[in-house]
Amino acid sequence: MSQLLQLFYRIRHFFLFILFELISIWLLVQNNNYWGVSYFNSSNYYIAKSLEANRSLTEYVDLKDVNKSLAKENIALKKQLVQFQQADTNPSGLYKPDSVFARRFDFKVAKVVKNTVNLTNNYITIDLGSLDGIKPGMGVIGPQGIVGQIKSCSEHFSIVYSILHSRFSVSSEVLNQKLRQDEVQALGIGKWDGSNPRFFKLTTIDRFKPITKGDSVVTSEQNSIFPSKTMVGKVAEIKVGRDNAFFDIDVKLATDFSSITYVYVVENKMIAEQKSLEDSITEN
Amino acid sequence: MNTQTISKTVLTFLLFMVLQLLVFRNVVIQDYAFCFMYIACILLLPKEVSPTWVIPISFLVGLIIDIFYDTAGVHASACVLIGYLRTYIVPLLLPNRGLETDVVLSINGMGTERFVRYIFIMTLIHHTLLFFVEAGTFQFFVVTIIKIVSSVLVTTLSIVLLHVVFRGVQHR
Repeated sequence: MSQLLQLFYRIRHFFLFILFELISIWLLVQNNNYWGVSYFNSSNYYIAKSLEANRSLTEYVDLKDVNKSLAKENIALKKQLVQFQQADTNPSGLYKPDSVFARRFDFKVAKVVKNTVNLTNNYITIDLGSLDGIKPGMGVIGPQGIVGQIKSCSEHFSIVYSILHSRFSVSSEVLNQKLRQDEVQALGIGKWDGSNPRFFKLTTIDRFKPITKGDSVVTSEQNSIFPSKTMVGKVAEIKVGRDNAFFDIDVKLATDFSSITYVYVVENKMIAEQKSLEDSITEN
Repeated sequence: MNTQTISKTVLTFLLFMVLQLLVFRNVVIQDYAFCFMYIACILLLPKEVSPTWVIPISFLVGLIIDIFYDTAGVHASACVLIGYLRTYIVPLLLPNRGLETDVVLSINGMGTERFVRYIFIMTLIHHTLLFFVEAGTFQFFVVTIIKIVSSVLVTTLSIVLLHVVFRGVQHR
């Protein structure tokens, strides 16, 4: 017995090693499965505060780019405004959205506190939290295009799944003149392949759709977290997939993730109603 | 260990952590080469510190880094591994085993070549586990290998250079 104890004593460091490795693995698994072990990530109040202070030092350097992107956004908004005014004066088509449905999206401006682009799973930390009405599952878009989805919230901060995440996918649609004339839609699933933070993969679009390089890729109508027609990027390269049925499209992302500073959190005010209706079908 | 050694160790420790979190967190060369020089905190702990302390300290260091990087468990597991292996690798690298306790883990105490080899081996072990756990699969094998090789070079170089720069702080 004493020899056994002696043996245990001699390899005590090994046990210690195993113990801490198990704790690490537990943390790893927890973080992957649930919405936030909030003490051990950057939505922790003190950690986020210190990162924010760190960020404020570099903020002035980025001001020029921020101004540029704001100006660009203003132009885009103005264009859209004009489009809507035009559409109002020439009403066409049989479908008219009901005003509650048309106004279901609400936006909040948030500042990026922390951001990564080089990992396999990237997250963004923003300075709005549950006290500002942010809830897990809301969409996040930037001035140029979509950014991600809220993963978890603390009181003052939230963590966002960036679309540069191996498990994030978004229902997207390709837009061009030819598709509009033929009145067909080119719907596909967009997903990041984990290699280059400037490109995105778009799959499941059948290869007989007339798609060319440079076409815009936007979020589709089937999205409940992003407003439809939010910019995703531009088609950069088209290949026919291995199964010969679908295109394998490389999309150049509209959002430049390395310089992202301000984002908009999108709240769909009717998502609860839509979800409960959809769930009621699956229950029966 | 006297109070002076302890205070110097703690100071170096804090310096490396702060540098990693405020400066080197933003250093990524060409999306591939990362600099995780914070592991010097573990590698340069005095040799007299027992593994019973080194392993928990390594875990804590990894956990702090994880909190800032949002990668719960990834850095912690890699740090615990090098914290554990440190005890076994250090004696292998030293020339005369009888005088082990006299050797200080530094460029002066070990000699340049041995010191660089020590840092390199430990960094390689740490980064290999780190990047494979971080990728979570062997799917991005080539990308991961490129990341490991380039990061090991950058990290080793920066640890050695920083160590030379801070040598005054450590041994005065």
